[in-house]
Amino acid sequence: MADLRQEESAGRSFEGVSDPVTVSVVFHRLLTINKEMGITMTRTSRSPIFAEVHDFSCAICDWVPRIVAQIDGVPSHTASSMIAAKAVRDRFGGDIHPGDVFIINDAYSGGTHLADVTIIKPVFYHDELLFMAINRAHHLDVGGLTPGSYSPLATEIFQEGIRIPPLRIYHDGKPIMDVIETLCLNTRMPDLFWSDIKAQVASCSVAEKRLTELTDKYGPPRLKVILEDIQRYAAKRMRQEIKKIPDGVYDGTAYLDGDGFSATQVKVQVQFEIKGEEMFVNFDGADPQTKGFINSPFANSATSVYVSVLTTVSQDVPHNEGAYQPIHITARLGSLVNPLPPAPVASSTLDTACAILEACFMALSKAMPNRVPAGWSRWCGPSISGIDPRSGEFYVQYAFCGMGGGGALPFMDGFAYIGDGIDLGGLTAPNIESNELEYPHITAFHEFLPDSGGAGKYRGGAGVRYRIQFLGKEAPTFVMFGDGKVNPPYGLFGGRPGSLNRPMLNDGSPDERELPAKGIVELKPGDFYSVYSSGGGGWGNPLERDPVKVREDVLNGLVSLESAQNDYGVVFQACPQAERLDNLELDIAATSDLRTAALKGAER
Amino acid sequence: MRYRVGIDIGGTFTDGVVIDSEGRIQIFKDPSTPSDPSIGLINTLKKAARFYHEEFSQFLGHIDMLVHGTTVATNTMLQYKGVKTALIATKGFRDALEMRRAHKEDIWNLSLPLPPMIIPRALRFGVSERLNYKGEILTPLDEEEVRQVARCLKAQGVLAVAVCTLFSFTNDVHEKRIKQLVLEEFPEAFVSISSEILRQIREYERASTVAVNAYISPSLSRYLKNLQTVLKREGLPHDFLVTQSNGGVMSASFGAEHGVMALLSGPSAGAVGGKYFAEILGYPNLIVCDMGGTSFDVTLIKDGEYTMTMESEVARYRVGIPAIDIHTIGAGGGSLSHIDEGGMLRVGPLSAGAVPGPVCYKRGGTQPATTDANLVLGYLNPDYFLGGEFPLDVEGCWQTMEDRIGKPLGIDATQAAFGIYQVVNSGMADALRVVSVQRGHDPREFMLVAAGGAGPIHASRLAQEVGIPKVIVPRAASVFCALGMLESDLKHDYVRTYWTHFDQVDPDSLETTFCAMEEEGMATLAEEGVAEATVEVERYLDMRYIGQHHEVTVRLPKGRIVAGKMEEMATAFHATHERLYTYCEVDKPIETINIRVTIIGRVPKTPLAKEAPAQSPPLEAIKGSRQVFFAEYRGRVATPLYDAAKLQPGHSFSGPAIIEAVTTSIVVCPGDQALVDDYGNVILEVKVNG
Repeated sequence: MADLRQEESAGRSFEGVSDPVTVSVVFHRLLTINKEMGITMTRTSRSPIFAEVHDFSCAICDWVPRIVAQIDGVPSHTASSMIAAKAVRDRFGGDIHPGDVFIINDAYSGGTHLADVTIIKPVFYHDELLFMAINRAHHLDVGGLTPGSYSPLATEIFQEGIRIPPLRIYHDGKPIMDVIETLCLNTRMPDLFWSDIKAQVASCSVAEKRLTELTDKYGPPRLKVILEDIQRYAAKRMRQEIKKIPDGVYDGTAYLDGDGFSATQVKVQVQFEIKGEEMFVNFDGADPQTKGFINSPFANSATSVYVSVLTTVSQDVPHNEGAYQPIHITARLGSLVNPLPPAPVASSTLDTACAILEACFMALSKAMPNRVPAGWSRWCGPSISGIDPRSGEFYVQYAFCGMGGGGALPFMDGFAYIGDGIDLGGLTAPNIESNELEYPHITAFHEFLPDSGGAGKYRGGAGVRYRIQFLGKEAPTFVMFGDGKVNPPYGLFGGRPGSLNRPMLNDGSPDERELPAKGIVELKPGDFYSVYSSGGGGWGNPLERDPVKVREDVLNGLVSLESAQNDYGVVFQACPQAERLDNLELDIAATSDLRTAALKGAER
Repeated sequence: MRYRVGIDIGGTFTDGVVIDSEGRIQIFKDPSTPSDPSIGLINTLKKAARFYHEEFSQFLGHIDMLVHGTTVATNTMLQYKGVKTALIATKGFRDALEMRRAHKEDIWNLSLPLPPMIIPRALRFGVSERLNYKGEILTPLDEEEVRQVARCLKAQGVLAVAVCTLFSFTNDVHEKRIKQLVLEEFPEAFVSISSEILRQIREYERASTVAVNAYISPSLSRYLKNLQTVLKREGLPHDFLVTQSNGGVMSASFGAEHGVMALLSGPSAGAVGGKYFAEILGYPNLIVCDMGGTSFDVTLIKDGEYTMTMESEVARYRVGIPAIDIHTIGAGGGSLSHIDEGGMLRVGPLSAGAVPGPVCYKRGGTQPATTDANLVLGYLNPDYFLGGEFPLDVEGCWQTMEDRIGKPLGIDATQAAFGIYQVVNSGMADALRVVSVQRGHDPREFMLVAAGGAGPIHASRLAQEVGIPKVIVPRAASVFCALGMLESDLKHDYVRTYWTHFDQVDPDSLETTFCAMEEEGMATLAEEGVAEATVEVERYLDMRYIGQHHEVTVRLPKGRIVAGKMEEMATAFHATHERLYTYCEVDKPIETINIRVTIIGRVPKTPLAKEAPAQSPPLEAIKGSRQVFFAEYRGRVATPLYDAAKLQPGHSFSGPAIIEAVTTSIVVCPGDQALVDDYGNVILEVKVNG
């Protein structure tokens, strides 16, 4: 596996193109511009979901438009930005001018869930359209049934918020205020919405400035050749990677706990067919679309497939449209993974995207057993909203600090507290201090949860225990969304699954209630919410885990003495007192005996 | 005669640069002595005293300023070799350091593991106490619990304790009390609290910074205090100075408690040296790389300026201290090579240091290091290392190379050495790409400054690989950092939170706060012996639109702050916001977050003297020839050896060649053209592909 870790992006080279050095310089320049877009957004936006959490992504398209560079931001936006840019081109065609800015969010016009609002700024060089700068960001509220725009009760997309088709919002560099005011009026926090749209536009304007400098340097004709080379190179690299995967048909299946209305589990089934340098992916076995908000628009489903491939092949494949050329995805219209309007879709970017990714990983683990992770946690937590008693202002907050663990790999333990699979650690959790400054609650604890990571030769990453108590005389509006209360992160090759998500209200008090993963919950003032989040799945037989590592896990309070013995077959010399765990010594002989017996037991 | 002295104690060598009162520069070098680094330092200074024909104590008495840069802090972090450290946090919140805000450096790369934990969970303790966001006490500190934890830490052999509790930046009462209590139970512990090191919001960043400070400071403190004692005893009349990450210097006593500020002590001096060089030579775009025994540091200088960063990552730990933007990897002459489990050749990050050092030092080293590979390949002269003072063991080196690397891979010693050379070069080339190509700079527009004792051996190949057309090997290449130190100004940064709506700022109170911070800085500078006349003050205000989460640092105009100036400050903020982010909102309210003051005590600079042009042909500088390995010849070839001391401005010749100086060796590869400029620097024109 050492080779896998060695392949770092710094070593990227562009063999086989006309001027490899220039192509490499331009490509990295585009990635740098892409990152600068992200920094601008972080630094200027008002919502913590952008400034602290980074729930947005930036991309640069060429004139076609094809994505040419996309490194900044959350993986869950990978394919959707690309489809949004094409939607703007299809709608406006020749009617795109310098100084224009476009907006789009509708799931059935090139978006995914409505909260993800995409801003697109065309970049002209002497009247020639050369680039489109894209910023796609998850706004805290875009209207709909409940604040936070995750409405478990919605049965139509109309109930999930304002739908925006491709729409011009700047003309000649100036905002078209009557249009913008119409949009703002349909959200619960109009000022915040507009401020953050401005931050999105600023991030695109930074790209415009830098892309113009880049074009000054190379001139449009040469730059266009270079951009073509970048696409060709990416396609070639992806084809080489696919070629390394043995030809064959590989299946994977994952289940969602339910759609919020029914407890029936919902199936995502995917099939990968590898044929030489091409990959054909179908979802023929997926369930039909559902009544509740887990339906996944095609852009979202395709994203999940791309993420599964990009994370398991070599890391030096550039992330752009060229790389997706050899991947052919089909999904039946009217199914969970390609729904028909007006099916609701809000939770698809989390729950369904995670389930699709899991199904893809399980399929790919059969083709590339040494590269694919065990299951990552799924999201499970509330959006919380109300009037902040300290300022009298309306707020919406997601409980990001309840993130779960990541799945183990064939050569290393999973990441603890890293978040759901589809975001791959791309969301940064806010600090407890920023959270309490921003929102009316007090945090009781926020730390790793023992025995949450799935046991394995390599252990799943730990989830957390996290509790917040609400301040003020009015209880906030509290909407649960997420999954993973029934289906835990899967283990691979003998590894055990991670723990289940467990959201609770007032646990340990007489009012204790277990919360649903999806649903609106009535709160009283002074209630507290806790989540015990999923650990990741384990990889390989836990009886093969190095006992020294098990001892470390016990010392670190991540694995209990009971689990060490029962799951890992590790025995310690005389059970020590809890406060002097550092004296804990392995009993090598007893461990070996116990493990041998356990292995025999398993064979029988 | 009076002297200014710069001393850079690296992992392998102690470099000294002396500038006398007439502006003449002399270089001295001696092996470092890690068990007691003062020995190497004294040896180097004694060498200098002998050179100037002075008694040692007399020489020390003539030193006006002694500046010291140390890589102790950096290397401790890079190799994760700090002391056993514990963390005390608010109960229920002990994991922030390891949670890392759920951040993964490379989102798409699933297989990059977390860095080793400098404070494992077993040594992280929560104690009952809690403040709210206003700094009001919600739960009082459980003092008995703190005492118990302290006793437990003592029993477990912990040496340093970091303390980071929630909201301590608004009220430091609990952190201060925890420090007292721990010291009462455990007086020999080094205790560092977050409110003293980085008094700003965000507990993860604060915890990480204070954890790093606790982890590295005891080693640094022991080291600096020892030096101080020895130098005083030998006759140095005043305190010496230590270079900081911010490119300035601080007094040694201050540095002993603030290891985190010296994290990039050595390399930052190199960056300052690079900037100085850029000014004098008139090359505005430089990539300065410094390869010593243990680390390889890269700084990019564009249009004559390096960039500063308010927050950086060292060894993958977040550190919120202002620093020059330097990229560091663990690769140097002492980097040890081995064959890993998968049968692959690996170099670093562990280093042989000065003791035992590479195998060829014959001090007990058993594992081949980069220097050993360079010796086997013929790039180093075994009889002219440190000008011949330090003969190298060629035979032992070849044997070990063959046994440890060659045999397992089924190749001979030369091939093994070349393998090491290639692996270490590819890592360094990646580091050069990170600061150039990956940040959007075209390497073809830069010159590579090769510094450090080992830098010039590898520079031409690195330039070739990355596409940099020219390499400058400064005359004082091996002691570039030490030279840079003498060009560093005394510099102290102060920050205080001043969180208020901008339209409610009282100009008088702002002025008073600035003055108080400046007085503190002036006092420190006075202790450091700086005359008031040479002091410069820079005032900054961190500002943002209300509701934003990140600040813009705005430099304030000189002079007293009065009501009439507030408008000008607001305008400066809007303008900066627009310049950085393409827009501003003049109608939106602003708030201030932090006040920052930088106090600089200017140090007089010494111009480099031009040398007389060559009177004789370069052939006369050839002192012999040696069989040297070059990939172009797929083997060894008779290569001329030039004596650096005999090269003069205007000399020019083509590779292959080796230029031997007392303190380094310059490899001129086949196809390269070497020429000597007016200052005695060697410039290599490198054949770049593509």
